[in-house]
Amino acid sequence: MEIAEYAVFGRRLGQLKIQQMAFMLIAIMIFFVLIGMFFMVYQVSNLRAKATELEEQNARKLISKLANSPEFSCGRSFRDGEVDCVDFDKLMILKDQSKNYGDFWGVAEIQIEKIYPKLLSNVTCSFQNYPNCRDITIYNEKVNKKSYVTNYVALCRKDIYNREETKNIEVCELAKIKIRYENKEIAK
Amino acid sequence: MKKVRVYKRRGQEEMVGFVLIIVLVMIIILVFLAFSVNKKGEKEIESYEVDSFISAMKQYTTKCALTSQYDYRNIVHLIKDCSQGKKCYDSKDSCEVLERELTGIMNSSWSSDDRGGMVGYSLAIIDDGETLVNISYGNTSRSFLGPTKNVKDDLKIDMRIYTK
Repeated sequence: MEIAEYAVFGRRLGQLKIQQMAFMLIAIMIFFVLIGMFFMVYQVSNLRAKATELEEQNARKLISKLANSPEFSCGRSFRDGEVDCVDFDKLMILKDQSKNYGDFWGVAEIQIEKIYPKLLSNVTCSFQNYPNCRDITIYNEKVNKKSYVTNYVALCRKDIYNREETKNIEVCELAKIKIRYENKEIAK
Repeated sequence: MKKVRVYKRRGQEEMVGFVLIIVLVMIIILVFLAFSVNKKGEKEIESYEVDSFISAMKQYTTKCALTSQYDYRNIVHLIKDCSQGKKCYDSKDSCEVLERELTGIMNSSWSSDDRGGMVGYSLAIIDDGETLVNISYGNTSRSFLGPTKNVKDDLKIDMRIYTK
């Protein structure tokens, strides 16, 4: 081979190598971009799940705040009244006064449902059947509503043991406080 | 001949470079995988709902009266009575009543029919290293709901709601 031919061959080989390297770099770039995209999709899906979870947690915190507000809470009327304690006697009065509250609570519906001990019948509370009833609706707006968000509360009341007026007892049962927000998307 | 040898050596060097890149990429992938697998270990989600449940459950009035016919004990008092081996006014064992009441409460409150994502639950109350109550239902899983760190719990209640 002549020297000139060697030079041409070497140059061609050099170009080929540059091409090879360029392809390799592009391949590596694509590979890392794919990994990055996969990671982003994973993070975004996690973010959505976290957002939903946070929204739900916030709603539950709001319920807790509601249960501990003066209109609902046991306060100091009960010996062991702690947080998340709702006064059943207060609720019976509040039920008829709730119209005066308007949108004070910022929700479309508030309901309290006794869950334990279990009652055989699903009776809505009234002055006639109190306290042997299952649920009580405190506030109910006639609008389109989202699904229920619930949280647990102790539903406490004062009672008399065996109809003997001197023997006052405090009874706390387990209940769920259920709220619903207005579904503004449907309303639009 | 010399030129051919030089090209062969360069080719080998390129192969070594390529292999090195592959090995590097594999190591990165392995590290990434190991990280994501580790994340899938036991995952406790702090839940305000569990906080409220524990708080409400503790206030529940049981059917166990202690000093008189109408001195009904709540769950907090009954746990203490059980750890001290006390008996109810109707001579029932306080620990038996406690377990029965807690089982009823858990069954009524955490049903898999209401919660699609729930697979089971467990509730344990431990006092001075001794297990007073241990209730479980369904299956366990790596992911579970538990109380938040802020919950005021002087009773060492270990509650887990296992989710899919």
